[in-house]
Amino acid sequence: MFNPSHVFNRRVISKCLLLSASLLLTFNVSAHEGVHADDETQEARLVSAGAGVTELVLALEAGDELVAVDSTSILPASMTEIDTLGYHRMLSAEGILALTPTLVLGTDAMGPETTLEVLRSADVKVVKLPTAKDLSQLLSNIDTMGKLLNRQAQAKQLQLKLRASLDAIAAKKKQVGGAEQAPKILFMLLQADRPARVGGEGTAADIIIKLAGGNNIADFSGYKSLSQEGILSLQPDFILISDRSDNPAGTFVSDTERVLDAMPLLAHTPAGKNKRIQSIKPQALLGGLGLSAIEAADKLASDLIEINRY
Amino acid sequence: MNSQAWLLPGLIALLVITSILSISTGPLNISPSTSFSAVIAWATHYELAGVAPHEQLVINNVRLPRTLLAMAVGAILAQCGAVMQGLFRNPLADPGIIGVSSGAALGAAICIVMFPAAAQYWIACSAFIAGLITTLLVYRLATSPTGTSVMLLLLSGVAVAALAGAGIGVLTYMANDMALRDLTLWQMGSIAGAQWQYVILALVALVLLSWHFNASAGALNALLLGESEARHLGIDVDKLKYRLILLCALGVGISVAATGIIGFIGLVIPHLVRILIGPDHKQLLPLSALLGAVILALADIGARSLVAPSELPVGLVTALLGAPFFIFLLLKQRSRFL
Repeated sequence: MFNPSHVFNRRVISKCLLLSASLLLTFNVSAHEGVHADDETQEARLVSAGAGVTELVLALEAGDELVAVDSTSILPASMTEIDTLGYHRMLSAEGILALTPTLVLGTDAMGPETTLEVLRSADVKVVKLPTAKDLSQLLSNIDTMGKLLNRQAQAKQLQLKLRASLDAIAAKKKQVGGAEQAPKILFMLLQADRPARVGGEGTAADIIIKLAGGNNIADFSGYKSLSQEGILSLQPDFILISDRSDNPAGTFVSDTERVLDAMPLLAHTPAGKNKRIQSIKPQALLGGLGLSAIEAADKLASDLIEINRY
Repeated sequence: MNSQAWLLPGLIALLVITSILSISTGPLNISPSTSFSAVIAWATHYELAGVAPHEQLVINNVRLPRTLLAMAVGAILAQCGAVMQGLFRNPLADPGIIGVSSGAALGAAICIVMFPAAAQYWIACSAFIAGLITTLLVYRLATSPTGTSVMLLLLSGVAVAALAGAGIGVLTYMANDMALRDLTLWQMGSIAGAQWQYVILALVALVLLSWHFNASAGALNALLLGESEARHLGIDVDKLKYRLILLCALGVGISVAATGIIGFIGLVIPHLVRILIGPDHKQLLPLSALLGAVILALADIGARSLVAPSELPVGLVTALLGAPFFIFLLLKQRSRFL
């Protein structure tokens, strides 16, 4: 029933050509000749996709080589001229190529594979590092990055520092005592006016709690919403929180006050009674075992010694 | 010379311009003449001077497949939308009304949440299959021995979509952070992952659909008079419904599998064309296809350029532009509905 000759008769085709030609002309006049800067100097231009990887890049003092990071990475406020790439599992091939990077670093979650394929065929070095779940993986990641970024000395130092802080944590853990004496710890992600999400097994908070020698009383896996009543029944000795709300300018409210204000029932837990509610830096909760996570564990271990003294 | 006669050549010209614009713009600064040489080199393997290897790569593996996929998917969605609106005789119909989009979303969600290691290819497959199954389910629900009721089809579409939505809700609750974010982004649609396999699949689907739909254009016109009137004109209405629904499910299924859910093209484009040329499906279908292709390709240009080097999901761009435009159309046409 459809006859193309009805639609595509000669008059129509000539009109098409006329219109395309005229529009094309105007387009070509306005289009500017793009200049592609072909630097032969080969200064390192680094793209980092993944919170843990970016953290390591900064710790290895390679921050000045960064040209872009993904949206999960957290940069110091002073680094404003660095581009953001969006989520590290939805990277744009052309967007990254336009930055003319020499190295694209990411975790094994980085993607999609099609994008990485394009980058590799354009002779951009793409390196995926496994997300660190334990110390040996973290140390080996630091080693790999030290070589890639030409920061071997810094890598050695960072590894030494990490070992030292882990030794310190282990020493504090001894003071806390065995598993049966370990204080009961609860981690909550706070969301305004919604039930708190409690971090169970396998979450980044769980890694920190275990590392510090605490006992995570949330015995499920992943994050689950818990009511105030549910939290009360668990009777935590210590509550760790993470939230995105900052104190209003000029005021200072302690973490304990803020949490008890929002969730008054928690005043009846040991943690609430003894004002043992602390916040963790959001960096510590991103992507497995990282530098901030170890730092947070160190702080937590010190707090736990305090608790067991009473 | 009236304005309608200019519409077809105008749209074809616009399509040509849009494809040139789409191939020569992006975060990487490649001049139009270089892009042109690169396209010639891609098509003929005849190397013209001045194309750097990485520019050739971006044209071959990013911009050409993206442009073609955006146009094919835009054309498919707009035509399916026009057919569904004709079949349901309801201006609210869009390709998702037969459950294919929500089913596909559920399929993708199952794959993303339950099998986090699955490759993109498997997500596309499970989206396509789930979309098809859902549509067949909706169709079965609406079919009784006496035929298929359009009203029942509409209602069972809504019901099954709600069910799929509940399933997605459960999966969302179960998902870990990464799967959650993958799922959300998938549901916003993106042409960024365009690969040649998808492009070829979508183009084949487009040709098949356009041919079949145009063959049914007369029958759809008759259906506008009413179902019994169409029967009296000698049209096997139930067979027509089954065939068109299945074709739409196939077309939308392939589109959704390749790009995720892209809203508003299927709803707004046929409306717009109908306002310009009236309800004759013989013209409505090809013109909707052209306009759909142009609009989705333009939206994709926006998606990859606006926030470079990062990228917006294209479904977000079409919804952000489509919804206000739709409201504008409604306001302008208010008198018609009174």
